[in-house]
Amino acid sequence: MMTSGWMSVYQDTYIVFYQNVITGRLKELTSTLSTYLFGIGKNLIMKTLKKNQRAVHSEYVLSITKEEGMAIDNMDGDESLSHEQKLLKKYFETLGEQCQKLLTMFYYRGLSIKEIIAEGGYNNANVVKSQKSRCLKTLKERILKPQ
Amino acid sequence: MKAEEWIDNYYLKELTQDELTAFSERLEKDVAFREEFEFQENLRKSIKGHEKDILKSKLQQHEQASEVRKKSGWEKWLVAATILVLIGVVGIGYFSLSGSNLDKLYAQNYEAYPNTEFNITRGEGTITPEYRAFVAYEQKNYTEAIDLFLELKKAEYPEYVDFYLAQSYLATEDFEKAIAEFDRAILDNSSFVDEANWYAALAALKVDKQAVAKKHLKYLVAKDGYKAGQAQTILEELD
Repeated sequence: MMTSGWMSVYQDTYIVFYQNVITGRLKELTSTLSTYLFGIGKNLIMKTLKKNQRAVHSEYVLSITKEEGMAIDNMDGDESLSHEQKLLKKYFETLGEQCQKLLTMFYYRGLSIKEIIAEGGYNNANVVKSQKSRCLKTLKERILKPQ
Repeated sequence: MKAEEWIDNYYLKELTQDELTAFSERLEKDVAFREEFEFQENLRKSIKGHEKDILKSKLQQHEQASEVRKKSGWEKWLVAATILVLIGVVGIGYFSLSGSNLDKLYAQNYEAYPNTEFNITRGEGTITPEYRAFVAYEQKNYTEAIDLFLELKKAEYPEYVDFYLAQSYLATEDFEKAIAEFDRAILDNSSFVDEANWYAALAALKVDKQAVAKKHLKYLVAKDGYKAGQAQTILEELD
């Protein structure tokens, strides 16, 4: 791999680690931190190498990538998002700060309603749910009628 | 339960096992429900991509700042690896001074391998036997993990199953079986060949098979593979 490839693996390793902590996938380390990080790094390198050899046994490679992808899913940034998801991302970024924050807490960080109330300063669960519902509605409207 | 509430509860991980089953059934039968769920799943992935962009941009800024010091990412990996090897060498060096036996060598070097293969986050898919096996493994229920991995091996199975089954045997101190499974992982040329050699060496130390341990360790040293530094130190200790 070129230096930029290694750099990308290096950065992605930290991103996977960060995301695993934030999304609650990693709650407790069963090994040292270095072993865990090198484990992720190794997976990312394998995935990159396999992707580069895709032309050979595409079916076989894809099946492996699927397995590998489970541990490090969605690590190719925009390339791994479908067309629809890229569009959604674009419209998500046009939402107000409060909506972005709420949807991020709900879908990405996987927080409970209680935690969202505490972190977002909401009054109660109903407010959170109705606010989320409004955010989704706005998002859908923007997709249907782009400004 | 209304569709919206149902999907909310799915993301909040508040559905019972029965409700999850009903949820999957409704996904298959109710088109509008499925479309709404797919929309929210796509949104979840989009947000993840959005967050990744933010993190990546922060890291890149950090890298640009450190460019002044002319360190490439590859060099950083080397530095990190060197530090780790040094820690290992110094640690083992200290240990060897205190006088050791094979059990101690094992205890000093053994560390259960983390699950880096299978994502067990809830809400990512259906509960498969593989999912259950890795949940047990991560929860350190190794006896249960062994049963589940053995069950998986009755049909066609991913190549990393041998390695994790071996790890489970090792954790339960069933060293002979662990060695047999590590050997299988090595023979199958799985993506864990180096790691399997390392752990097979440790297991062999534990059952006093020094020649076998040396064979695996020499492989790692010759290849400059996984834990080569520690392998070299153990070899010196054994000679």
